[in-house]
Amino acid sequence: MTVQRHPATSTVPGARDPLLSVKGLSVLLFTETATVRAVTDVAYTVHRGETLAIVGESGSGKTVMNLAPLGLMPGGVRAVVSGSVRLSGEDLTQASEDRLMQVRGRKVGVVFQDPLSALNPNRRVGPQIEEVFRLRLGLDAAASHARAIEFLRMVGIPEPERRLRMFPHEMSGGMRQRVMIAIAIAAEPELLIADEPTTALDVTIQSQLLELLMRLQKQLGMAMVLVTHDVGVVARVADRVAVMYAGEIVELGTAEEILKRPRHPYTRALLAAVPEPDAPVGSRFTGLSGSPPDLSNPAVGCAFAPRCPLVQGECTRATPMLTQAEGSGHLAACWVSTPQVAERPTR
Amino acid sequence: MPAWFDAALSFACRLGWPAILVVAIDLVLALFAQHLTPYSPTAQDLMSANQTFSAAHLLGTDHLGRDTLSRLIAGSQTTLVAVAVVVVLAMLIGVVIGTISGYVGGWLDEIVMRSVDFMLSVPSLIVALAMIGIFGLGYWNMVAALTIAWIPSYARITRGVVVATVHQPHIESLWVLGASRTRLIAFHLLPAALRSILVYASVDAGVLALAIATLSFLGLGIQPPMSEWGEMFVDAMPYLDFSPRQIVLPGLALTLTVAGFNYLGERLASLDAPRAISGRTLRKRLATAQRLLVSRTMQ
Amino acid sequence: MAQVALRRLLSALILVAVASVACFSIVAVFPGNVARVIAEMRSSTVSDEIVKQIEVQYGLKDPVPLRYLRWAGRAVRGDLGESLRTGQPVAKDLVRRAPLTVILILGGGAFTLVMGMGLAFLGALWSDSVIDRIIHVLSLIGASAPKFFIAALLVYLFGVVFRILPTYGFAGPASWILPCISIGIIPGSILSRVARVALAEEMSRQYVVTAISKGLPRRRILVHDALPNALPVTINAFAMHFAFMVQAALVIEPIFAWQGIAAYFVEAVRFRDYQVLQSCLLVFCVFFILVNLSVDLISMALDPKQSRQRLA
Repeated sequence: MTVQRHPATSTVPGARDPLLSVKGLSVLLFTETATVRAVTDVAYTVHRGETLAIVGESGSGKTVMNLAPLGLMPGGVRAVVSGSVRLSGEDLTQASEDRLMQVRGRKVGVVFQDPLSALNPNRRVGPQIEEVFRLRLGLDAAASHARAIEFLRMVGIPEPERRLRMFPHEMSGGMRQRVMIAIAIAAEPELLIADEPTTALDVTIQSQLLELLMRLQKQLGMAMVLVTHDVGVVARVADRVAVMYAGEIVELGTAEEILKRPRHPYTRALLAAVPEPDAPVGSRFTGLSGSPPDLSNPAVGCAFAPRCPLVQGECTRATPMLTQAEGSGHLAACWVSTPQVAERPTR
Repeated sequence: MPAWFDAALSFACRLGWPAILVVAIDLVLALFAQHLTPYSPTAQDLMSANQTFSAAHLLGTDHLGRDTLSRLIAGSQTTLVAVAVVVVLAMLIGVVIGTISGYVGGWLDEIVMRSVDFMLSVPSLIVALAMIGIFGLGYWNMVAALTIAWIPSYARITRGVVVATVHQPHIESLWVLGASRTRLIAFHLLPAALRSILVYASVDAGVLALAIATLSFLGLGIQPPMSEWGEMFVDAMPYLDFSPRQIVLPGLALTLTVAGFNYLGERLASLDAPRAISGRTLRKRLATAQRLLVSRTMQ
Repeated sequence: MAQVALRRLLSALILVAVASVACFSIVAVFPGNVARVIAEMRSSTVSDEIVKQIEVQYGLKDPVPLRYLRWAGRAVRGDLGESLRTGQPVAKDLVRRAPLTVILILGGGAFTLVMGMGLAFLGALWSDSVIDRIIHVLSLIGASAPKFFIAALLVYLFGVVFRILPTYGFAGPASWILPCISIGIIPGSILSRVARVALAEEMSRQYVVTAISKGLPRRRILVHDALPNALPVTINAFAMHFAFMVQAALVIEPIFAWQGIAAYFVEAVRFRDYQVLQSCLLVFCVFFILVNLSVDLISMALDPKQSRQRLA
């Protein structure tokens, strides 16, 4: 896996520094067949202790946006990152590979989607946790063993001494994900990125794990970025929400604002696609017709225009910018619902 | 790393088409060997022994003064003819055994395939050597020994394709419609098997060329005065110190020929792959072929 | 686990029995009058009477199963008969020659392993570097070049040009180096490619991304995660090459004038010495079966899904 970095535009750090400040981030992915612009010019911030949920359908670039700047793309995929990703003031897009190695684990922990493939199947769970303490924190074998037991207990695994000797395939899916979480928080990072942490699990276990993540976040004072496609999860966990479509953030605001007063038609469609428990029997389930655009060949104008019920002439001519609506902290990129201040140059 | 080294490496990576060209040249040389050799490959001339490259002898002469170029050309004929004979014989017998075994099935299939697997688990060159030990030396004994050693792999491939094809819906429906046995075998099972077999045979030709050269090198294959690369090689071994040219030339000829056949087979296999049979059968077939290839290329 | 291992052992024993039948019948069943060959070996003039006499003397007229039992019974007691050509006991010859072939194959195997794994590891450490190209070219050459050609080139290079290694005979470790490299270099280059591909495959797994997210260096991930996981594939490939080294020994031993078992076999083939032929075949078969057995056992020990049964 290779991550190449392009020089970014210099940015002036704000007065009240957020933990993570992303500006003008674009990611190009090179696969065998095509070059894909997976993420286009996104900007967001995450403050200490806060939870930002990033919502979007699969392929919207939400995972790539978070993992590519850290050099965590799966094997065989080359990513080129441009823009700036400042973590406590340090631009990760400018950092050397050695410096990034220091950042990973210590400053940013990652929980991956499928714990079965994310853990080495042929190593016992113990060494996979302990190596973080041994190599990152410099503890000796006995101390890291004790620390591993402590962390397994912290993520709610009973009989941790016995579990440490197990192989991943000997555990249940929920237990494996708890181990994964223990590994991610082992070096007590400032930021936890949880990439669809509950998608591969049963519904009952999902909610237990969300509780766990929220509890750990408070306990360790971490900021959390939760990547999900599940609006229900967003409602429970998030302080703020970013909605992604076709590699762009189309709406950004507090969870309450976005869930109650969505501005972007895509967010509305996304919310409408969640079945309501108290809806009258026989009422229609509203889906979204069409499919997301081909990112290897982007069209002019708003990417959502072909599927948008409110589409106007402006929408197919130019791309709308993420613009603040009426003085609130609520941003949306839509010609119709949020009047644009200035037209941005077409790409 | 110097630039020329890098360039040489990347050129070697793309040796495929040159290798096929070598096979083509080989074929031409083998077909017209009698007209192309500048001297008789067996004519000795002790006065001009061990000469290096010259206008009279383009590739020099060996320790008996025989023209190396002529011997190489004659050797290509010997090798390719022997390879062709063995491949055709082994293919014919193997296809018959494999078809019957796969078509009849039951205990016959079980016994045939068990013995085939047993033979395949022993390196084929050792089988061939044991056969030569029983038959005795000589050209046709060598051909017979190699044929026996090479039959199992052809039987195995044919049987695999036949079994896979027999259970395909279009064959089963023909069966229900009352198509005769011979018709089924001749027009449906055999053509299906032949595709995979021809692909296999093209790689196999290279492996066989190696085996023949190895037998001749041991003095158990092609006997003098016939020219053959392995035999030229062993002839020149005692003069390695001062005339390495005499072992490098037949060695290179052999290596390039085998590489050409290997590459040809690879290309054919990749042409064949997407169309023939889809999904699991294909993967299984490729895996078997791969296994056979691996065991063979290790001669 | 122990039970499975025992079952493997048992089936290996049965295979040895089957192999002995095959080795025996290969001579008994095929045409070619054994008695006549023996007679020809003894004197230049062969009359039918002498042939008949020999048939009686060697019990060649008896039914094949009886002859097999007689042969196998003596073989179990370590008596493989006498060489038809020299009259020496075959078992004694085999024991005398065994160390050479064992050294050749073990040394060649070690070289294969070191070369294959070493190149593959370096290639994985600096991926897309010149080492990957070298692996590619070597594997191409390895699949096409004859063993005796490579061996002769090595002899020329180290024995004639540099004059640093003995190229002839069996006398002490220095004389082992060149034969072992000659026999190991081709499987080594093929193995390097197999292992490199296996390593690349492991390095593209999701668990490697997890390991990177822990902040571990690439080298550590390669050694502790990818390498152990790529081992089973590599070991299987290696075992195959290792078993097939017997075949390579057929040409390598004569080149270096080693009087090993492979050379013995070639001699037996040349002089149609059936006793020796049979016995060598049997030795080879036992070797193949042993290699397969050890691979099975090693893969079993490496697979954690098997060791779970051991824990429970």
